[in-house]
Amino acid sequence: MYGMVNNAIEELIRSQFGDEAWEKIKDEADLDYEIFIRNDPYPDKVTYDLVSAASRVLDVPAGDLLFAFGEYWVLETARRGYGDLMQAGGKNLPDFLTNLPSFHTRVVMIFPKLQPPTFSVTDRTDHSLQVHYETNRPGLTLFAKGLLSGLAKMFKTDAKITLVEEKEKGADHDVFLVDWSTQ
Amino acid sequence: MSFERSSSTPTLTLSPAQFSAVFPFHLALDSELSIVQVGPSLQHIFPDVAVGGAFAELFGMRRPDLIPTFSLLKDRTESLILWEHLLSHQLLRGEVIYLEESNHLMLIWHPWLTDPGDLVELGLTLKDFAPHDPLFDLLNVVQSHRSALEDVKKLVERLSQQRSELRKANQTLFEQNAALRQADEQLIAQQAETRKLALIASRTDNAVVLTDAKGKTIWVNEGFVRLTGFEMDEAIGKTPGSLLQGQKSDPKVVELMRSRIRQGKGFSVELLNYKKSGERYWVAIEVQPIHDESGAISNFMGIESDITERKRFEEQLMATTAAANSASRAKSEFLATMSHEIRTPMNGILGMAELLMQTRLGPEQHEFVEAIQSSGVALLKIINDILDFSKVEAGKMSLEETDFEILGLVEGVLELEGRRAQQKGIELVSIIPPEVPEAFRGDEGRLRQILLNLVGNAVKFTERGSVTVRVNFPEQTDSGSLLRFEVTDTGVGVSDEQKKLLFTPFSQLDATPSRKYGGTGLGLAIARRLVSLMKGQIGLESQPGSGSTFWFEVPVNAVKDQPDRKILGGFEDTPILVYSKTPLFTKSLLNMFERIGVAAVAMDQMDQMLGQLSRPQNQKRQVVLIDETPGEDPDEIASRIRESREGPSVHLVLLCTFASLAASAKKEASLYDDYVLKPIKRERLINAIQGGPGPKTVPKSAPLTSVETAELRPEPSAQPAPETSLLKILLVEDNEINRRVAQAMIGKLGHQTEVAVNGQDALEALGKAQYDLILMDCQMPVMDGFEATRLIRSKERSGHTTYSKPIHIIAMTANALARDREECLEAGMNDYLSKPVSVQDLKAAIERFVTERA
Repeated sequence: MYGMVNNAIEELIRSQFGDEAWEKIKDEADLDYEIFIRNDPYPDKVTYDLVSAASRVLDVPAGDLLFAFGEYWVLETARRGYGDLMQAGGKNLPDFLTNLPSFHTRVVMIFPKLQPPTFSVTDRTDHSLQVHYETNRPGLTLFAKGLLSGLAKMFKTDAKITLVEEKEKGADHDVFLVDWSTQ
Repeated sequence: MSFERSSSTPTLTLSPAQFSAVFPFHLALDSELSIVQVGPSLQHIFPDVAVGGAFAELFGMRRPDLIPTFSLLKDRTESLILWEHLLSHQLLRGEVIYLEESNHLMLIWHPWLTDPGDLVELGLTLKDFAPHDPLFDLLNVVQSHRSALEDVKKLVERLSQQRSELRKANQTLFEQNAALRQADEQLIAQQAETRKLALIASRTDNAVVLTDAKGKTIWVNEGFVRLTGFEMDEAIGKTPGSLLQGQKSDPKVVELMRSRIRQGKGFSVELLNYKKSGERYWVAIEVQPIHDESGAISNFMGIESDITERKRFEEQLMATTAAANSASRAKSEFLATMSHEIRTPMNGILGMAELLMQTRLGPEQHEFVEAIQSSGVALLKIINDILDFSKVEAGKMSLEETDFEILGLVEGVLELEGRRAQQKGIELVSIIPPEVPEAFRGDEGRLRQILLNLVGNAVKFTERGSVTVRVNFPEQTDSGSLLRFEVTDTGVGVSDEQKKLLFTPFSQLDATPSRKYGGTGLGLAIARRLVSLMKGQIGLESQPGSGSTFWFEVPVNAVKDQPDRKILGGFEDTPILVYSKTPLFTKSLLNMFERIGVAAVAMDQMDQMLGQLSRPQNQKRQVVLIDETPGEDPDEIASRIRESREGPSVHLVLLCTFASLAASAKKEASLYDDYVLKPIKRERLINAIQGGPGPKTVPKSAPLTSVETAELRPEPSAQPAPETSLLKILLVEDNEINRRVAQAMIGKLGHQTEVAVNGQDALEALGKAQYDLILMDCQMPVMDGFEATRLIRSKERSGHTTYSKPIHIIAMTANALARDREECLEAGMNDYLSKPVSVQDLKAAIERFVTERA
């Protein structure tokens, strides 16, 4: 996982729970990284350890943290670091989600060691679409859901995101239904 | 639009839609530079650019900076050109393609974007770019680099922050380390100190005791065990005092120690303690309280050092000092006693010898008696020396100030030593320059004693040559004047080492068992102390083999009213001629005349002298002084002078020694008008010159064998002089021999004697008869002379006497100390004679009485 993910976790913890909490979590995770280089790949274990340590230290379920982290990543980290490029991804949520695969492909080409998940969009209607999320990393489903929720908030779109197919429950991959019909 | 290829390849063309999708930012112009086609993305970002628009009004050429014309652009195909959209100032870049077939220009452009923000500004999305277009990705890379730069900055910031924290931590750590090290050092030092103290406490010979606050022992060192004999377990729990103090320990000191302990104060004392064995020992005890952190007394530490040896030494010292003081007192008493006890028999010996000398004796007997007398005199001298020395040492010597004449002092000394000098063939003369006054004020007796000692030594240690006494009295200064005496001899001399020994009591330069010279070795030591007493100085200048000059000088003043020396002369008109072959003697004699203002001529050749006498102008009375000269017969010289001149006009005076006088006496001739014995006395010389009193003829018999006895020689008649006609004298003396001596002497003087054997006896005699005077011994049994005198005076005052005037009492005592004289006078006696008494002394004392009575 690239440093930008861990970096985003750090920023989230520091901004929401304070520097002291972050140091505690690092201690709990037994990690000595002073900062995470955003464009440098780190072992996945670092990210998992951080999340699980944060869960223990903050006494918050890991799933909730992952979801919150997903939202935060889109709304704070990505927008701050890649805001202009994100905007170039599309002018609204459906466009962005539709562009997401090609956008992601371009990003992947810049970070050669990235083992990226694959996004694809199907079943696009006027008020909904399905986002397919395929990855070989386990346990990040709620993170992906948080990302989608964050995107909806970025485009100020009241969207309902539902996990319609779940890899952990035997599906080939996770599938989310994004429905903005109430908009 | 189409692409033409070689005929061998198929013609591949793009539809307009495909072309626009591939090049969404393209622009096509005709030969008039009118826009004929616009790419969708270009139109999207520049709404003012539309088909039919004038290219040159919408875009400007920036690099190269030229005015675009069709032909210009046509020639610039395959070149990269930078364009500006004039309305938005957005830059674009791209190339020009000339389409020959339609005579059109195709501009293939991209917006020139350097910042991802430009995308938002131009409203571009991913859809506006052809998928092959890497522009979006380039911006993504730029964004990536920016992120990386931000990360690096963040890292640097964190590093700086951490470095700063590290520095602070290091500083803290360093300080902590320093404090820790200091604490460590202190601990080590304390440990070392503790070890040292523990070592000292355990190894020291002193006993060290540690007690609790109440004084109960909790620890003792090995020294304590060694010193007291008590083991530690015997001492613990008890006070040191209960263990070590005993019957003879000073209760006052013990109480002081307890009191100080109660007050919580330290102390230092010395105390007699007891060992376990019962043996006593002295200790110096030093006790100090030890305070805990709160300031309360936690312990006392006592150090005891054994001072038994010191105490013993102190006691010995005190005993020694007491013994020394006692010995000193005993010495003084012994000296007084010895002085008395020796003088008493000496009086008998010398008196009897003197009387014996005046009886008819054979030559051998005479010699024996003389030996007895001279030995007695020598012994007396030794006794007097020792007595004097003791007195000076004890600080009991006091000085007496009287007026005296310097000439009398010097002549007296020369006379005393003259005979001995003559026997050794030594010339003994004095030189007193005219500027030296005649009379001084000072202690004549002590000055004579010092001078006599120096002259005596000079004569003693000179085998040939001369001894000269010189007197000097430099001009008086503000600080007073020094009268200086110099005694120069031609003797053996003194080395530098020997000089150090001189003036030291009992040391003589010749200290070999077979000493050549006798004496006590006290003379110079006494002289030095006497001079010192007079605040003067004494010393000598000498080289071995070339004689010595001993000198001393004392501060004395000349008497204001000096006697007139000129009067002594009175024969200025009479020429005086001195004939002598001894230059020193001649010089001395001429000096003597010079002092009284008389001119004299000296000659040492007989012919010359005779020539002088035969001159016509010298035909009046002429005085000739003839000195004895070895190898020449003075009688012959005298005869020739007499023969050369007729009449009494020549007055001849022989200057001779006693020995040669005796020899001359054997001759019949009476060649001389008078003679003067050497050493020459001025008054005698003047008398001889003037033809006054004095022996006119050389005595026929020669009973006189010493200068001393010559002085004591009885008058031709044994009858008393008219003015001292028969006196009735009461002699009070317990010693039979001394009584006989005194009786004989009084008899010789022509007086009558009655005797009493003690004071009581004397009082009784006074009640029975009348006496002119009393000679009173001081120490006698029954009643001593002091007591008797006091009673006599008491009776006289109350009128209980048979006589009218107070009777004259002369003390005769063997007590020679100064205080005895005072005691005598205090008791009421009139005069004082120290034993041994000589006829001369007695005669003088009686004469003083007669003069006083008259």
